Amino acid sequence: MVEQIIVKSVEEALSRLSERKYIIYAGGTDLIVQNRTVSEAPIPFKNPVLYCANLKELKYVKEGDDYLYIGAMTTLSELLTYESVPKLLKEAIEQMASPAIRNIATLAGNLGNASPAGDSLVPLYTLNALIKCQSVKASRLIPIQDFFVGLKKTALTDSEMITEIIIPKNRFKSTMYRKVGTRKADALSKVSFAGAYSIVHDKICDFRISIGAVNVTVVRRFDIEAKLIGKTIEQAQKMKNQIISLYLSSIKPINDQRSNIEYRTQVTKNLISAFMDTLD
Amino acid sequence: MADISKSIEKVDLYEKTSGEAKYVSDFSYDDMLYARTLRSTVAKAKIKGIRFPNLPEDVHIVDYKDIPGKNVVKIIFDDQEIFPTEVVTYIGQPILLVVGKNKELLEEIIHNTIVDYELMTPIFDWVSSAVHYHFQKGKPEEAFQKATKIIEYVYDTSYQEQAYIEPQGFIGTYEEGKVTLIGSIQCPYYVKNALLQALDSKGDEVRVIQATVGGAFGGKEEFPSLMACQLAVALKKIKKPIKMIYEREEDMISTTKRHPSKSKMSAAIGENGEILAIKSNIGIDGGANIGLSGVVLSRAMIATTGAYTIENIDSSGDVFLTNTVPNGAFRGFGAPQMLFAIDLFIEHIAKDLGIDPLEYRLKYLAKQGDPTSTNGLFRDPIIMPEMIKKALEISKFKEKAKIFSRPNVSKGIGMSWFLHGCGFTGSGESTHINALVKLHKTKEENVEILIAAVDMGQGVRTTMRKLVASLLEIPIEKVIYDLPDTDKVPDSGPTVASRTMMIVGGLVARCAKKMKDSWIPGEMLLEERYLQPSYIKWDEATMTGDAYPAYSWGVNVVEVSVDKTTYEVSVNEIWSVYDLGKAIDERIVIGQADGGIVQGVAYGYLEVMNHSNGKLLQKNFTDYIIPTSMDAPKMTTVIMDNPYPLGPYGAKGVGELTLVGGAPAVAKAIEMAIGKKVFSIPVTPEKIMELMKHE
Repeated sequence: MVEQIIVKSVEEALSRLSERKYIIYAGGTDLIVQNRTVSEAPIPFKNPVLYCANLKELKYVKEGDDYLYIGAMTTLSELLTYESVPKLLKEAIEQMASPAIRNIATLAGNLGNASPAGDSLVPLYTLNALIKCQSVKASRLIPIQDFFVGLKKTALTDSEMITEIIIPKNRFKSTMYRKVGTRKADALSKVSFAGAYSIVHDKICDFRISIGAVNVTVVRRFDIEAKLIGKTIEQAQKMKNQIISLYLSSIKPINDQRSNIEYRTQVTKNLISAFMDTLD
Repeated sequence: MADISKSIEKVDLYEKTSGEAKYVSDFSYDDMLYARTLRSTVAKAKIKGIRFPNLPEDVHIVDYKDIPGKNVVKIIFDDQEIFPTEVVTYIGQPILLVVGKNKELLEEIIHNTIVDYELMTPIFDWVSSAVHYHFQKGKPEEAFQKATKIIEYVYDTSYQEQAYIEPQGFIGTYEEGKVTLIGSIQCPYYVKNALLQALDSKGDEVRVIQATVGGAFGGKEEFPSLMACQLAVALKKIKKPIKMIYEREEDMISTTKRHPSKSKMSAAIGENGEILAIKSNIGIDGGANIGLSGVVLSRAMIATTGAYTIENIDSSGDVFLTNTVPNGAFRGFGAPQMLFAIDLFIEHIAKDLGIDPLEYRLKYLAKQGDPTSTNGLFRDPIIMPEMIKKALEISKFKEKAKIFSRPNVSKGIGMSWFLHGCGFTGSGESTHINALVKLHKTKEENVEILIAAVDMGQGVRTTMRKLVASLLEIPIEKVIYDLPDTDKVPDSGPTVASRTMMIVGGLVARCAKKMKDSWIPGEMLLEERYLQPSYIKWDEATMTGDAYPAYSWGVNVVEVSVDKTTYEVSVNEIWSVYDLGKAIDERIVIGQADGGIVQGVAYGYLEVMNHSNGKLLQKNFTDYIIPTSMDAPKMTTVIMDNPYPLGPYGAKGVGELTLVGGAPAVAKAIEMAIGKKVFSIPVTPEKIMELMKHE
């Protein structure tokens, strides 16, 4: 069996991480499933484990003037209790897994697991979240789209851990979150969608779309969004088909045991279209 | 005396909610070993050889060479080997057991064992018919010749997994020549009889005891016999206690499921739009061996005209063998497939003829005195007209249908009508089962119910005790009903086919009445054996006569919304009306009704299972989606009294009835919501997208 350590402080965690590679265990709701074995036998982790769920210093939500700071070990259920947590993120969390899982799972865990179907990732992309990765030596703030570097791969190095998620404060005119998971709880997404926009003087001044589960990482295209900035709603509506086809060129949905390419593509189209119909 | 239907507290409520109930995985013995299974990774092959890694001395291999008796699992059709001697015929098929003390080590050994296969060509298409049945009623050929129009459609149904929460498992001991198994099972005597043949043992050398069962749904009818035979062979060889519990994934890839089916339906239509005859041809995928598939097929075929009376019928069907996991018993047992086809078909005929489906269906609704599909007789009163009236009323079906049928309303409401034959098909009860029950009054004036019926959550431990207490007019605490043990209880038959209360309970009730009439202080032992009512006539060869002694009836109404952006279905509300004779305990029936309809509706729109070249693609609950409580809508259930003379207090079958109407009701609701005909279940968002594409 591998070494398993319950760390007592962030300092201890970082110091251990500087010595060797560990699996960082937050809520464990993905790790336990991924490392499952036969019943009545211990979980066969392949690397030593650092249990971090009890780190009280990483359980918080703090509001600053421009940013919201979420401690990495704050559970999803706890996040739902803060008024300052953006609606878009709350909507995603409310539909994630089940109450029992939300009571122990964390945002940092969802980020670290880096599944293309990770449901909290999609609103975090739209919210321009920053991921704070800390090591003994330094701390880096990585924009979420740079945090994910490939299928199930992140920019996190072996000596770092996620200590905080930082969300810029925003006042959108409207947001839309949709999870397509077929059943109403405990479902893995076939497609997920988080859109937001703002309008100033009848012109779109902010327009964001993030789409999950249709590529190796969440799809967010700043270049497509830029095309709509400064446009009136009418102008934007006219560009709808063009916008949709631009997005379709950047998705690569798959056929698997849960759905197929045709469905994931069509629903992506429909969701973008439905979101653009909400422009008002 | 109070009405028998008035609910009492479930007798196992405390032990189950407190965690005291002992499931098979809760048992253990000193010096206990574990058994793990080496499985085929190919769909069809000859085994040329098996190369094991270095085996420690205390690790044992158990295979076909160790079987003392016949290498056949005794079920109904005996075509399944306990361990393959030479050829494997499906992916996941058990080849041998590896038995030892350390489970992780066993896993490692299995992982490092190499089976040398000589691949053979597997069959996945439905071309190899192993069972073919055919029957007719009236003169279907003449009717088809007279027809002015023929309407034909094909209906498909997919796999359904029982998804019991507790996986399959046994624990066994070997003491002084006697094999004892404790298991999660529905049919203690099926297991015992299979063991006797496998071990070549005499009756008292094998004992089977039921542990608390964590769900079964038919999945623990015949499958456990295979596992039990393998474990018993190991026990006889190693002579130490052995525990054998499946993990979820191996359970899902290797145990029986509901048969996928294809039903070709055609109707001869007369000049006034009337149905002159119906022809049905159903194919079901048996998987790699026949097992119970023939019996499943016959129940499906007998349901050819569902809750309707059609004068002329031609019904044929086949069990096709494929190199896939064997399919078997599942709540409904063939009926859900055909009831989906026929209830949709009649609706589609009406739509094609431009007639209101509700009116059209009412014309053909079966009445007391009508001949059944197999020319038996509906002897008992049929109260479907009242039930339908009630269902229409509580669901506001007509008003809603009118609004939902308008274009651009993405809601729908669907109504299914159905029946379910109670007990074994045909003469099964008298020829195969011949049930025996006993009641034993102890010196302490407690009354022990001695039957092999299993409580798998459906509540029979409560209802049987209530029944006996009520008839004997003694407190329920004075009635004992322990988990069945074949050393103590007679063979009252398997816990299947919605027969437990009606057939076994009927015998128990007669026994109790005799006990009451002859009541003396002190010990008494009375027994009662099943006797087929003389008016029930069934000819197995021509499939003619009374297929069942009685029928339960039902109406389900399901309302859905379909999301036009994502094609997802939300079930908004469900209304059900049932005639199950008489509820022995209302709350227990409601429990069955809630679970049954959710499982039946999910079969119609949610639960997806497919195989690719014999490999199942959904092998855990992440990928095989069953409804959660969030998906279960508000449900209203109305139970109507229509006592059946031979059932205890008039009770008929309950368990399966509540599932079989779910799929057609939800499919029709989706049809209304999207304005397209549905021919295939489950009606997934992916299928709805395809249907809506062709606007």
